[in-house]
Amino acid sequence: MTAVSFNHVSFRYEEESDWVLEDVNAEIEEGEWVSIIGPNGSGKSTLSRMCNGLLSPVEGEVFIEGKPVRPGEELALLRQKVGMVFQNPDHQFVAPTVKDDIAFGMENAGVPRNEMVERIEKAAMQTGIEKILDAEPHRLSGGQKQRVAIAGTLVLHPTLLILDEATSMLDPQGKREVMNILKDLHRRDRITILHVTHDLREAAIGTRIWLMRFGNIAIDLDSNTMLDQMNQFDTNDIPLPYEFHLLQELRRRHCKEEAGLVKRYIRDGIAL
Amino acid sequence: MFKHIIIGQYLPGNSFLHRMDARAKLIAVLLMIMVIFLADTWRGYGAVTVGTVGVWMISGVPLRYILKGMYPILILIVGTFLLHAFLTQEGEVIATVGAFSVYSGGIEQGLFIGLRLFFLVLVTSLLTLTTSPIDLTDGLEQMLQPLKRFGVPAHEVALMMSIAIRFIPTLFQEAEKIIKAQTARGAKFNSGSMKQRTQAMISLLVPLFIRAFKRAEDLALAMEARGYNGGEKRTKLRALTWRRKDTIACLIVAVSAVLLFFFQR
Ligand SMILES: Nc1ncnc2c1ncn2[C@@H]1O[C@H](COP(=O)(O)OP(=O)(O)OP(=O)(O)O)[C@@H](O)[C@H]1O
Ligand SMILES: [Mg+2]
Repeated sequence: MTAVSFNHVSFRYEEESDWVLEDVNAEIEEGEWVSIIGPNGSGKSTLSRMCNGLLSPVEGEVFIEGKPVRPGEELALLRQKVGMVFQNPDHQFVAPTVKDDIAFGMENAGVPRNEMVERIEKAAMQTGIEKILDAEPHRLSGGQKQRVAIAGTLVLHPTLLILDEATSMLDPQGKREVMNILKDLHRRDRITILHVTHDLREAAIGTRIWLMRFGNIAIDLDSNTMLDQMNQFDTNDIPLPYEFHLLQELRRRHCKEEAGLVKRYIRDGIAL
Repeated sequence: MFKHIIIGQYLPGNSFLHRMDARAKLIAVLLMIMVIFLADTWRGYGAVTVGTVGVWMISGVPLRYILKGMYPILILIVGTFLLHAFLTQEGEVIATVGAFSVYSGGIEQGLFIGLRLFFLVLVTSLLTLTTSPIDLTDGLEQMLQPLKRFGVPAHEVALMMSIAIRFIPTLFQEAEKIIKAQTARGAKFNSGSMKQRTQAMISLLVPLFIRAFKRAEDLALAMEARGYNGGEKRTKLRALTWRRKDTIACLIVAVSAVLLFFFQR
């Protein structure tokens, strides 16, 4: 099934101002992992916020699992299905302790208490935070806080998880923790992932990459093809990490076997 | 600098008071406050002393914590005592200081008011020392629930308090960072003239506020994304449990209150 579908979506924040998104058409299939990269102000966050009704298109329509996203009663249900994790770990932690924060979404959804306790246990296991359930946010690392944020969405059993630069404020260790959890969720729990990032290394782990420019999806490639056609990226203002350069160089010299190894190394996210 | 802040003055423990339901404690404290206001004879105050000291004994809170809470209002207590001592003109003259005469009634009034303040602070301190801010918030929310009909925003007040509890440490941590950053830029927080210190204060407060607003905006968005929809049809993870001992404790306080009312005449 199609998880997300953007149908001629255009958006601007105010009338008369410039379009932030212009006629975006794209689809994400269930089980995909789409990474969005692109320069600042290209509309990545704006596009991701269309998926759970935080913003509504000025023109066009967004469908989640075939149903149009419209303001109203059903938004509450949609927001259970579509989990969202933001950039700043400190700005999305609502409650005074980890446990309470994970419960916040369920409390909003009216989940009965016994069930909350069970779901928290499961989500804590999925994200490896069993030991800090009673901790207060200011005693946690950034990576731990982001894992709590992910757990807070998982308890609502989402089918789509959106991360808007959720790793950009974390140290390498925290990034790795979060990316490993995403891998697990994608592989084991079959959750569709939409990951906005500035890091090409992170982006290469998914199944598909969108490069956004000027409110449009300028390049849409599956990740394997992306690694074969990197010259497309080189022209854009996305700096290539070292191993991507290496891959290009190996290709140029026709070292097929070595290139294959490097490619796998990139795809598995070992460099993270 | 702010590493080990505790919010409010909660002192974790496992005494009878710690284990009581927050609502029961709130009710008991309200009753005790009423009693403290009703007491107006020596016998009355004697009984209040026995009662509150008894409550303190079972709280397991070390005396120094109580005294620490008393310091800020010490001036107030002494001040009101002096005011009453000098200005009330009842009973017989005990001493004359310059143009003022001190009457026995004044001393008595002053002592009563001072004691009253003292006991009020003692009782409320015992509440906040033995109840975590989160439990206190929950207790308050549930007790305000019946007043919703009259437009009291119980859920919103509780949510505001809980967000405040959650963000106070963050604010302190941020203030610490900004102080360091501004000190590196030459701001003088601990030295320099009054003017320089004021300027340093401004260089702390402005960024602190700007970031607080940015944070509030982000937080609102994150709450919306997680389906926050106001208090309607909401469930709660935290459950307060009212046990029999809570009923008994409240009854004991209520009965003592009534007895005291007759006893003090
Ligand atoms: N609340 C807002 N009001 C008005 N304009 C906005 C608002 N939020 C974003 N914009 C504008 O919309 C454009 C796209 O912003 P958006 O946040 O979607 O970009 P982005 O690709 O996520 O960038 P970044 O990499 O910096 O996160 C930018 O030009 C930005 O200035
Ligand atoms: Mg963005």
